[in-house]
Amino acid sequence: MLKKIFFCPVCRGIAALLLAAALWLPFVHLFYDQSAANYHSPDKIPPLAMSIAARHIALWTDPELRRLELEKMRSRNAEWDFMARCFFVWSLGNMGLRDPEMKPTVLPVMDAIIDETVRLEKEQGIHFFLMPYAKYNEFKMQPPRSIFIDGEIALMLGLRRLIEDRDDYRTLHRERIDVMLDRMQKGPILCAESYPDECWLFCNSVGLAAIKVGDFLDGTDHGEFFGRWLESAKKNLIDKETGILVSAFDLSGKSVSDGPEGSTIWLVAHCLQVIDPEFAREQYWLARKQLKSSFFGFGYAYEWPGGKGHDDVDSGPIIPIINLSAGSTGLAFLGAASFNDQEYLTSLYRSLEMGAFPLPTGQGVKYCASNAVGDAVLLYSITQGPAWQKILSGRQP
Amino acid sequence: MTDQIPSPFKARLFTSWGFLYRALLIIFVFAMLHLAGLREYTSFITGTTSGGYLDLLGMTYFIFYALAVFLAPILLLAAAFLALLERFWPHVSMQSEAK
Repeated sequence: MLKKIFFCPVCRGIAALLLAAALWLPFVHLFYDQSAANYHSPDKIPPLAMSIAARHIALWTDPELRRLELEKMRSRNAEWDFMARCFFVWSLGNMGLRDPEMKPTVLPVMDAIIDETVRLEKEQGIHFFLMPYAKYNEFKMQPPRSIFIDGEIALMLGLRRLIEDRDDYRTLHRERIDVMLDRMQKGPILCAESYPDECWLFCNSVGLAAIKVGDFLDGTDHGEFFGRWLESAKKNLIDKETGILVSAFDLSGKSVSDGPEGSTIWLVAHCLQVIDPEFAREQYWLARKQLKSSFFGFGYAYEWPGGKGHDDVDSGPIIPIINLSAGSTGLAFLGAASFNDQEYLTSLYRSLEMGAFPLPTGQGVKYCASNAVGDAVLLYSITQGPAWQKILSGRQP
Repeated sequence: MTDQIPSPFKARLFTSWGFLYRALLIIFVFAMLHLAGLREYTSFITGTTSGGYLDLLGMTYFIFYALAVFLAPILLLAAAFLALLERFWPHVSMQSEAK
């Protein structure tokens, strides 16, 4: 056998290729390793966050750049425009809390984004930030509102107020909280609609976090509601096979349209950290078990447990064979960072360096493969921490 | 690796020169695509497509990038292994070529 390999040119070539692959592939990831100090710091804003934020602050202060960027995203999905705003404001909120010297830089940008988002919603209606199918059916609860919009705007307002309170934002924040609470409590399983007869746990968990921020800021207490919500979620929304919370269901909670998926659960676990840290941690590790994967040391995430399933607008394109989902992998950064999972985070950052095509620009680093919402999620994953820590430490008497 | 340098167009695939030329070709094409600025168009990966030929350029860049990172070094290493084999056991390649 060995003699045959030795004297057959093709066999020799194939053997050389296999040997070379065995030597190269296990080590290629070493060329993409980043210093953890670039994206993780317990007491200051990491350099990568400053670099990403610098570019996006430039986008938000240059109307022409902003128009081009938002048009590019809106042409694909209006939700992305909205989510890019929200994740970016949440990131700036955490940056302002982490480093008070950043306040004069981040507050005007946060306010500009919040004001413009609220104005657009008021002038154009909720459908401006929703996908077109929101118009095809009636919301079960009237008047039509989406907890996707209410929750994320409320959290923007809440994190802005955490840095420095403002009377007008307090009013807006409290109004959104009241609307969300009213609709969630009317829902049979304490969840409100994101789209007509379609409740997304992503949006409801953001709503819960925004309510919790309100409790911290205004001294209200919705602990009893959170307790009932958790009880209902554990009873109605846990996937029996994996133990992970499902993603989408009808208002009654009886029909699940999307089971556990990466583009939802990583953020849900992050938001539930301020509601029930233990349950959130348990959900993160269950999700990690089902969704984490790697390719020669490059970490990524599946959209669906075990990598089985189709791509959709939330998962983003799924790379065949390895079943990498861009949407789930992007949000996995947030999950891993929230739960201080350094092993997974390190492998994800390798993938970012390898597959997101970073390009240094005069305004900061640009990930060519990404878009504004991808950058904003990444920035939030790097900066998150101070807001949740502040809330979990409780109100000062 | 034999002393005579074969033409890149005539080198057979499963030879040290064949592997070397293909690795260099991949690296050269990727370098050209990179210098042409095609890295900018890789946003199709996250679904932010232009819907036009720019996406094709981005895909082409992505494919050659993956080939340059994963395949070209393997081809170079394999070429080195075969060259070592030919240098230290020249009768092996001569016998196999005689067949």
